[in-house]
Amino acid sequence: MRRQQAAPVIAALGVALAAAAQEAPRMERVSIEDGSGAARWGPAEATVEQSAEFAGPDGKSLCLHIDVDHTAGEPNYPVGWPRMALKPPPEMQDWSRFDFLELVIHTETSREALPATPLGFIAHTPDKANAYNRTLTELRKGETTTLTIPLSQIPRHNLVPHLQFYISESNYRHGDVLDFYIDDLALTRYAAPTVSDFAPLQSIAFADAATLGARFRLLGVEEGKTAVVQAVLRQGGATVADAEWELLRGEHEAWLSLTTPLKPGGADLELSLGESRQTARVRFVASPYGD
Amino acid sequence: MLVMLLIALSSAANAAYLFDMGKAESAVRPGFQPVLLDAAYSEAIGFGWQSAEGLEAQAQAYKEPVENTSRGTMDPPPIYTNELTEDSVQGPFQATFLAKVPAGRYDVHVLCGVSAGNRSQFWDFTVSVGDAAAHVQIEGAQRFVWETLEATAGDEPLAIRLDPLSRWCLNAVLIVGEGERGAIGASSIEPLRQEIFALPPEEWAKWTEDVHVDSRPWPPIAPADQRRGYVIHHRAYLEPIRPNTVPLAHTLNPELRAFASLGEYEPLTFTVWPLKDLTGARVSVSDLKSGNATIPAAAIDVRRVAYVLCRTNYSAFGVYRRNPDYLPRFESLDLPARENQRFWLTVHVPEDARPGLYRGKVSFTAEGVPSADVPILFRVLPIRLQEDPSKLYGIYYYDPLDRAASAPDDVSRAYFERKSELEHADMVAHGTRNVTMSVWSPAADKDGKFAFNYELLGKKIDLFEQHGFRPPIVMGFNVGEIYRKHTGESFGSHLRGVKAPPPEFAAEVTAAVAEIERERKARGWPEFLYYPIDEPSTDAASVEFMVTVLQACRAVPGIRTYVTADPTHEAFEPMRPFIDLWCTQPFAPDRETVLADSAARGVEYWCYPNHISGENDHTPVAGARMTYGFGFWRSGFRTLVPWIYQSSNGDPFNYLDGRYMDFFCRHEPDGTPIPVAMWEAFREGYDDYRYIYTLQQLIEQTRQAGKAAQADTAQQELDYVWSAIRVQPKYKYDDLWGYEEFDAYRWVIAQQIMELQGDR
Repeated sequence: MRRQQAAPVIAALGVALAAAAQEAPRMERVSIEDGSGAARWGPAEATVEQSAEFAGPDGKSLCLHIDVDHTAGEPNYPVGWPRMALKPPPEMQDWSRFDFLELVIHTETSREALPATPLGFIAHTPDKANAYNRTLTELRKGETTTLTIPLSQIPRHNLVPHLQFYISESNYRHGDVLDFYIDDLALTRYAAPTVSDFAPLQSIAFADAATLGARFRLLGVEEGKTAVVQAVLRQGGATVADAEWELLRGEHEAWLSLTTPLKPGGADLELSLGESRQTARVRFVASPYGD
Repeated sequence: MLVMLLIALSSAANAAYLFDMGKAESAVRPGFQPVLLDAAYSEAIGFGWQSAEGLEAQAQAYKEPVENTSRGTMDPPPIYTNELTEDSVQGPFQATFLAKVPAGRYDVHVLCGVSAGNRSQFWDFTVSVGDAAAHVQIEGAQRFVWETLEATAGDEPLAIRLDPLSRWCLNAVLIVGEGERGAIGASSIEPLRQEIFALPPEEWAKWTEDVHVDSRPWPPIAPADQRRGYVIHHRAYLEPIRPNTVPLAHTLNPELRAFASLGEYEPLTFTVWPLKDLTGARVSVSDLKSGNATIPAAAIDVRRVAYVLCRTNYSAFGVYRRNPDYLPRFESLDLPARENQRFWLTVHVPEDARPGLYRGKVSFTAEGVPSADVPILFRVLPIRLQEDPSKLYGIYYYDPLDRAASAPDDVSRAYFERKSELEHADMVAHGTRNVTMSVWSPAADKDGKFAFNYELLGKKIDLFEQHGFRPPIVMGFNVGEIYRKHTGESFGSHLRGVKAPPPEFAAEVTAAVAEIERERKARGWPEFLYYPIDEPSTDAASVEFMVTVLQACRAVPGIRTYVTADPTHEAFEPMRPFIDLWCTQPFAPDRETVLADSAARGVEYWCYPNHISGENDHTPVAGARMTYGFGFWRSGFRTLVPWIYQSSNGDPFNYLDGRYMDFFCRHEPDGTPIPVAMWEAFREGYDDYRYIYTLQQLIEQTRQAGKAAQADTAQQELDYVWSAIRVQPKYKYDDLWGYEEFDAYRWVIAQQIMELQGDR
């Protein structure tokens, strides 16, 4: 049960979190695949078996094994796409009440290193024409990689009836051997109200702008309930604008009215929810439209 | 006799007379009277041709999938015909169709087009009934026009007259009494139009709409806006506005603001949300004034943004979105309630405009409601933007001169020649300085001679040079014909079915390249980049074949080869020594690798960013601007050359017909280009890069003048913008700058230009 843990990769961050020390937020987790479901996956030009290698505490992982062969496979496409696919059970197809998709994958290969595009992940949302397709470029030979993908990056994730891992043999040499150990494929969510993926809609704006927008996700709020997010814009230590937004769970864009003239230069936009605060820097430049 | 019975029993107000023109063997629409070539008018019959002189008939039905032997697939037909559109009557001379109907007022609907035929035919004719007339212009085949003329019938038969400038074509005539308008319209005409201009019911049933959801709450609507019946709002033009996009409170009743340099084009947009149906809507724009300086209203192009049913991607089926797409001109519009209508203005700053802050307005009016004036604030900068000679903006191009060369008449030839001129001028205005070309010949004859059409190529190169385009020219040539001669087969799309050819094949490829190259030099033409195969696959057989072909090309001394393939694919490694120019879809490999390889081996890296031309749902406008400007700057690539300026199959305004969705710019019936929003974004990216290059040049000049501190400050600002770019191989939707940020970064650069010029 070996695991060499690489640093978790959180895909697509918003602005860096505030410097103030904070406890890691409590998360809830539901596994789609915990490493014990090899029989549920349908491989093609590959094999999938249960393994005890590179597994977490439960000692189970799925091994997707591929012998790259540029001569075999489908007659029309000998250089093809070895893959494995899963139809999740109905209760695991609606991801709308979750915040992240997490994948924990360890990679071994006969090559010296993986190519730039080692493994792809597809989720039909809800069909092939509208699939979410993500190349897992973060994978490294000999390392276990934890990928946390915000579900905000996966449109239409309320109906996900098909999942697939695949490689493009064109990215590999004939004869390469690959083993992808999938320890966990899970959905996670914040257990308490949390602001995530905060970023100003503009990192640079004209000093005579009438509004400044912020984009963020409000997570960890029960269905039908709201939480209050406060926003303050400060320049030179002085508050130049503030706002309070009472919001439901989900993705939001919200605006502060800028009625006090701003000077060219930096300003700090702070979002707070309860005791937690996040800050982003915005640069204001002199407007082209002054007389 | 059936028609006579109808006449006897019906009054004009309650009658419809339906005629299906075509061939005897073609299907006839139920309820329609067939009209063949020999249907001469007589009082007894009550309908028919006044004269059969010059009349011809054409028929080609498309109902079933067609085999694509190149790809080995079964594809949808180019269009789906019905009984009316599968055939037509046509002719080169004036003709009249007569129909005896009771006295009264009628709508005369005429359907014109051909389902198959010469693609180089331009149908240019007038159809008239009494004083009502319509000018019909149709390019080629598989496109149809529906015109409706109001007519009053008396004692004489109604005369539907067809007057050609080139040729006319007619599928059907529907004469509908004014009392029948509603019933026939709902039961027959609307379903018929749906079949012809969208899809037949059984095909339509296979598609579902992916409805855009905007769940933001509506802002409060001011009483004044309620009273006038509409709301005006604004978003940055990079942000698509869909029919149901909810206005934001802070964007209501906007002031439109933009800045631009001398000679630059700059967009301004605003959107009307009607609270009720509006008819006769018009938009007009005032002069822009700054003191006693004026930018005339004539320098401001006014268009609307049209919605089209778009696929989710160019080759996808089954799901469509109603997306903003092309920008047609208009006189007046009827706007349905609760559906956004965006208007797109483009200011072309005169080269000799006086810098300063200009003010003006754009006025919106509609019948029976108060008008609205939207103020414009426009800053003209004292800057002349420079182009970087080391970068090239090109585009794949189907030149209408190919159609002109095979045009069957002078009117058709003139249409395609004019279209080519207009498109070249449009490309110049959008920063394009290069187009791809091809030269074709059958395989060499028994004497080893080719038959390349150098005269036609020469015309294209003349136009290229007249419009100030810059070399080299990507030159495709038909290796496929040579392969077929020596193997008896086609190698298929992406070399799907290629096999190793005999040695004579390579020798003939070399001979073809040698001849083209001799001709090029003799005629003093610019450098050609030899482009033998498009997008080879990574199969071993394909790669081996490419090595053979590239070696055969390079056997001609001094030429360079061009290949559309991803250089990061290891499978292409054997080709690498023989490729002088990689053209790849993403900006990959990264900048450092590209610049190092270019320096070490003299290889060039070009990019065909199809993800922001036609391989999308027509909405990645911000991605298009980023690709063309700041992204291009950071990439290290030399050239952008997306596929393609314009490509259509079937109906050019129906994006659901045929194998692929239509690509990019459209055109008016007379060939005048119609831009799409992404084409405008290409220009904005081109302008962004010109701002960058202009500042780089000024920094260098300032430093050489000994003003290091000023140069350093400007460089720091340029570095700030450089660092703000979130580098990606493909800029499309995700992880881009905010819509309003692009202009703010451009302004940072513009400020430094003016500072170094001493204009601040």
